[in-house]
Amino acid sequence: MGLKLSSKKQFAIIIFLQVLFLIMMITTKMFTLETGQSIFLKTIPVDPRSLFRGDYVILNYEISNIPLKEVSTDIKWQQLKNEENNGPGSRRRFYNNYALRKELRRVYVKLKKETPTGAWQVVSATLAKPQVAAGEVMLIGKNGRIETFYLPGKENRAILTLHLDYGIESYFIPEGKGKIFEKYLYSNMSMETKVEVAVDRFGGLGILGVYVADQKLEH
Amino acid sequence: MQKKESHENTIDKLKWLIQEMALWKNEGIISQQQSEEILGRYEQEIVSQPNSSRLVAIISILGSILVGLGVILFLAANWQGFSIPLKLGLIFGCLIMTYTLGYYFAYEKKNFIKTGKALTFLGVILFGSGLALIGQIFNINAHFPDGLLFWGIGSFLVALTTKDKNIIALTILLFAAWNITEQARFYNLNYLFLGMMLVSLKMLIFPTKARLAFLLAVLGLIIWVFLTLNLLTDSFMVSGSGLVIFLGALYTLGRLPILEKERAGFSFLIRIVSLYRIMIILYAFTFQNIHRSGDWYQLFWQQHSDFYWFYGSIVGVGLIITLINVIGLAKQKKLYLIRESQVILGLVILMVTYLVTASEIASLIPTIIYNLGYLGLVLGIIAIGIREKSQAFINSALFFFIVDIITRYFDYFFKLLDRSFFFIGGGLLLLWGGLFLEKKRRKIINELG
Repeated sequence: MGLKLSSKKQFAIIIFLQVLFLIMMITTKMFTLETGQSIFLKTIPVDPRSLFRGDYVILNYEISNIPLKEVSTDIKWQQLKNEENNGPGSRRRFYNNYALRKELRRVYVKLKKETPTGAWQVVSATLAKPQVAAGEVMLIGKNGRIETFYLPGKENRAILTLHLDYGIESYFIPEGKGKIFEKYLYSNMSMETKVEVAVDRFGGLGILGVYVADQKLEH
Repeated sequence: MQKKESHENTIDKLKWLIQEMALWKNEGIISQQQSEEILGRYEQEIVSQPNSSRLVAIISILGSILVGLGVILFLAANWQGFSIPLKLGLIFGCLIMTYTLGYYFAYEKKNFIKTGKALTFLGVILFGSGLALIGQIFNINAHFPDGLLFWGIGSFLVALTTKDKNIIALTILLFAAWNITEQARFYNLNYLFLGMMLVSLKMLIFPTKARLAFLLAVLGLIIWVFLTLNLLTDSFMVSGSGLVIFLGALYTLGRLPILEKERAGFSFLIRIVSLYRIMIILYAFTFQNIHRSGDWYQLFWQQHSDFYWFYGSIVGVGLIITLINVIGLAKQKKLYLIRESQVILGLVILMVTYLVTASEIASLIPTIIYNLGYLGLVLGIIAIGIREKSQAFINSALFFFIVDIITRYFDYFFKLLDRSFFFIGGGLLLLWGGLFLEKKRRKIINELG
């Protein structure tokens, strides 16, 4: 170390840095939750029995899997279809397409509120930062990967979707309460599950609350 | 036995040094400050008393891990009863208090060094649990290897100031866990890990001679090479062959004079770990079935053209290091070193030949070659064990030999013999083999004295 500090001072600085890092984690999230615009996102109904792992809920959003055909995008997915998504070993070949994976590390997703349902839907998923009009919000999705889905009964027609992580995929619940939540969701399986999310102006996200059949889950 | 004696030797030498230095100080040859600096160099040896005090250290460390886990579980289980500010207060309060007490006992007052060090270790664990708990309170679901990385960086900084061997080992463990999750779970190439290991070796492990951390770092690097090659080629055969070349380089690095003379423990660890890994891969190559899968080969050369360079550069670096070291060993004019370098060189040539020709030849030829090679290396490891009077080498060689015999028995006789004869024959073979090997092993070890 170039600096000549006493080890006591060095040690104090390191503790300070660790504490500072934790505080930064808190403040960036607080900033999103306090200043962000509140939107409602539909979670795709999944089997509630697999919804709980340990003591947190896995939230699988509709916007986590974007059908590339249906939104406006500058990702050149049409080229991928033949090169990356056909034949055995294609999944690994996709992962080996390092250039593409690097490109998809950060994807801008624009949402718009649908009337009359009030749910927010994907308008575009782009690598370039989009212009955000009134009534729209921009999110940042990370670690994008192209996945293939086959519709039941139409095995020859695959849909290419862009899978993104938003950092809001888990919701923690008190230990021991998991079973109760699970039962509740299982008995309300047909009900819609929505998540209230805050979006700040930089595209950061934070969870404000989880709603099952318009009723907020309370701890 | 040997280790204990050498430790007692060191203590005797240190006693002599302390007595002499008192004289030097009186005679004005060295100052008080210089004498402290000289003793400081040997602090690790003075502190690391064997047995009883080591037990205290281990118990303290285990205690701190338990306390850390307890704090996490307590906060996680009772969190609905606490308000967020209270939870945060507890996290930060515990963290700062533990570090402060740890520093005070171990480095300021120096009256309870072991307890103080254990508390500092606990502080590092509490930092990690702080990361997890804050993530939980605010529902932060980040890319989870990042959590391990940040925890590792926090740990690295503490290790850098305290130079505590347990914290250094924890740091390496966290970095290795970060790399494994990143590569095996998320299929990300991770070149940053290589740099971080080199920095850790230079700044933490070599200055402190921390053996556990060194072992973890070597294992972490081997896993990194294997996972990286596997990500690039998607083939065990290609990545396995590349790894053997890299391990050859690693083994010869263990023979570097600087490691052999100044850090004998490191030399031993690096060589036995790389030999173990070589044996595991060669063992896989002794099966005939594995050489039949021509697909991997086609796939590798035809469809991964953009990764020739990555693959080539990693394996190429291994190859160059091996060659340089092999030449260095051969120049030392010691017969056993020359032989060893020839074996390693032969192994590397075998692997390169295999990579280039495997798709062209029938699977029987490589199977025979690798079986012979495997047995040859078993003999080689026994020879090393006898030369260096090391039970570890001899025992591991015999272990690999037994594994091979049992495997081949299942491989070739299971179908040929009647089932009952198969088991009776196998049982007799094991009984006889066990007796025979134990007799041989005792004989060799007795001869070692």
